[in-house]
Amino acid sequence: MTKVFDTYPWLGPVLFVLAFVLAPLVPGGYVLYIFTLVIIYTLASFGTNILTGYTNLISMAGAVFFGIGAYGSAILTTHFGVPLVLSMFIAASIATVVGLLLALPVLRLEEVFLAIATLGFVMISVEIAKSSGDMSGGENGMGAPGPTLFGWALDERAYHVFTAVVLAGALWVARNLARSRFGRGFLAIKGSETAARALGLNTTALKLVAFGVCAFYTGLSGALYAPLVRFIDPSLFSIMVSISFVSMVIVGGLGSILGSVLGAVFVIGAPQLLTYLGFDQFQRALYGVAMILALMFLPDGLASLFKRKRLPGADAAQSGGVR
Amino acid sequence: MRVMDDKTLPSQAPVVAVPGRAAPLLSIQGVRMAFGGIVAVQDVSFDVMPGTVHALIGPNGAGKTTMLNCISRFYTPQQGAMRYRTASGDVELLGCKAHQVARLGIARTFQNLELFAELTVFDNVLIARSMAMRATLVEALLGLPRQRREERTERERVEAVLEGLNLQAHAHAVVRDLPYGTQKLVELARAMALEPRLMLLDEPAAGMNNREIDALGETLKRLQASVQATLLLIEHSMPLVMSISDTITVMHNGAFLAQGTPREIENHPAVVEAYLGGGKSGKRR
Amino acid sequence: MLQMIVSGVALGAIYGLIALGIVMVFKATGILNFAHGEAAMLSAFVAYTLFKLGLPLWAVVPLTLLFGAALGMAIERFIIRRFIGKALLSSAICTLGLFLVFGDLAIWVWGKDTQELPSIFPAAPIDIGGVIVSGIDLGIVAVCATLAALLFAFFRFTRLGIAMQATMENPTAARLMGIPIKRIYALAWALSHVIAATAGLLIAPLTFVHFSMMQHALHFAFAAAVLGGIGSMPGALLGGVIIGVSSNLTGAYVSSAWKDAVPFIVMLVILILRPHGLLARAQIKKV
Repeated sequence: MTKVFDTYPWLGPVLFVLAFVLAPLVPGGYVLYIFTLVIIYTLASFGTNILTGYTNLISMAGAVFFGIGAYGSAILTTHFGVPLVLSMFIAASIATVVGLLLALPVLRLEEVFLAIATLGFVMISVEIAKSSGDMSGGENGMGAPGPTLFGWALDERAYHVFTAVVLAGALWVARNLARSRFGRGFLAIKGSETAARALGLNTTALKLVAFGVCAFYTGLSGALYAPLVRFIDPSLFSIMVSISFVSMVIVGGLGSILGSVLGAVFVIGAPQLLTYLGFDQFQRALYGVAMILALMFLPDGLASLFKRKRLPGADAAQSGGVR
Repeated sequence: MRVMDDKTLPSQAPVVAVPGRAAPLLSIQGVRMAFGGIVAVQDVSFDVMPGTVHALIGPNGAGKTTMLNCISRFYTPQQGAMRYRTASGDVELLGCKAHQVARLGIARTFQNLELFAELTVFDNVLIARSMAMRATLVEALLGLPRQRREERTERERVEAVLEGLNLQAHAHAVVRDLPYGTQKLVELARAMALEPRLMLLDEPAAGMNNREIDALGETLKRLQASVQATLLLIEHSMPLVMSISDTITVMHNGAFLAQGTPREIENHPAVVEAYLGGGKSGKRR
Repeated sequence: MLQMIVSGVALGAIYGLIALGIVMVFKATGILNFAHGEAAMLSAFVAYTLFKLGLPLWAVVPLTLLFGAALGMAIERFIIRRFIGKALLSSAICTLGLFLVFGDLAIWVWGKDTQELPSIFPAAPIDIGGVIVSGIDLGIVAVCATLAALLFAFFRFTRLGIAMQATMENPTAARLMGIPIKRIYALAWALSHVIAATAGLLIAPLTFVHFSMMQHALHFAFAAAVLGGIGSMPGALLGGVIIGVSSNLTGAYVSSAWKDAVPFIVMLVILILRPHGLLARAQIKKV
């Protein structure tokens, strides 16, 4: 039976995705909600992976982009009546612009400064969120309308499929990126920034691109989050959110698409498991322990348990010229 | 947004012939590079003529690698000029950033190998072809035709480069797993893939045995002949230096010591005393 | 206004102290310790427990410092050691994990209630040249200054201190010279956690002992460390004071809402102008 999977290597991932997307449609309710959340978080996980897994940049600013995406889409739909799909992309674009502006001054900093500087961004953005009362409800947060598509309200099942479609599109774009000189450029920066520069790569510009892509994906994730949970407040701009994004890629697997998915499953699913077992107040410790264990024993993340890790660049090299 | 410049690859641009005396391709003038209190390169000047193999030799610590790093703009000298001749006139390298140097047609290899260890040989060389690709970010993200076409073209180029150095068998091996000698060839292949007019090689023969060194010498000669590239190489292997160089510049303690043809340098008293072994057996390694 | 500055200096001295611990460990082992604040918090809780058990303050302090040293050595030995010399990302995420674990550990052991730990200094206000300064603030500054002086002497004049500096500059050379760098690493971590414990003890009377007592301070300490130049220990202290003062002044004269954000704005501005911080020197990468 495995021969089928060898002949059509795309079959495995496609079946996995289908099962993942379709299975929860059956029970509905809370289970469906969790799966939709996983899809939304996978989107953020892709973004973080491009920045951290491919380009090896540490950023604690994920929460900023997520929050902008969420608030952006909520404000646009609530106060300006912009339809969901459009407001999603506008919000993600705003997050991208902010991301690029923030990245510009700090890109030239060494790793350690970058990590701390991005921490600073989250701290600053919390204040901004709390003090812009009129539009965003200030400290108390604001309600976000449920999802509608072309005027039709989407029920939970329809929204689940909607987010899965968005994720599929995002996956396709990410794959294109990975197989281009930009994706390889990110890997080059990770491998040896010196060599990358010596080969003519404008590493500063590439890092900006990585930041921008990460901000877009994370912002899009936030924009999809708001209609799901129907209520957002400044707690979105917390370090914990940024940490959960980073732990998704560390535990799931840096630089791999399967890793992004597994990471999202972990970050959403593990606390659920904990709650079920009655230990829900140790969620943070769970993340912490998982991250430490992953770094110590499974440096390529959960994804390495399922397959020999291949960075898409290597994949492309192997299949180049054959298809 | 354009990450790469929209300029013709230097190798495709015709070099204007200057009547009378040939003009140097690279002219180093009075370069001084100091780190805090340590002066690594002190008022060094020399010219590299186009189409030649130019060796830079000297004892360890003479400042040779530092000189190369200045040229490729990883270091910024405190004083001096480094003029580089292009089809559209002279460029002062001091005004360039490290990644712009490659676009001018100057490629380099590193003494300690700066390969992308986790990537395959193929990908290492493919990354060198990034400069040649013009498809924009948007075209890449959407997988538009120009992007796909360029990928195919450049992959073919990479295969050709690998074949030229007999590396095609290792194309899909991860660099980290390869023996040192092969890794050195990959670094060379990567530099060659830039289709440079000037190649800066930092100890390309280090760690090689005699047979490999001979093969390297032939490869370098072949390279220079086929694409009219100019080579500036730092080397400790005197047999290699003597056999392939047209000009040799000798550095010592950060300063210029002597320059001339291999015959002239071999017998140059100051060089012999400082570097080649004081008149006895002048051969090293 | 002078009042604000003085209490800002006191608070800033603590931030600087925490920053100092972070910088020390970063210089010695190349690791960014996100869990540093939580270690201080745990130390404060340990002190509280000892105090509740009836021990007098003068006994609690050394025992707490001892706990700090032990904690630091344990972390280094069992978790951190394998990350030394590797990429910053892995070790930074690891300490981030520890940060999370310590937080929940404190809740598990001591619960979520806020506890009180009295200061070793009398709280009575003292009049210095017309400015009313609280005894606690004065005590804090005194302790920090003394600690800074002791550390300076240690690094300058003792063999161990010099060996540690050598390891910080060039671990390979240090090892080749016979310096036992593994022990230096353990020492660096132990020492930095003793500093963390001190910071915890100093800040406890101000913030009370509570599982999230250090979160605020940790962020500021990071800003301070970066501000001063992550490779410079005196820079960390200087950065801390700058942040403490600027934060207080902002809170008093601008708006209390932005009090928390200002240190980061200051930090970002300085980083843009001087990418290596105020006191550190730029490192040129050797190729």
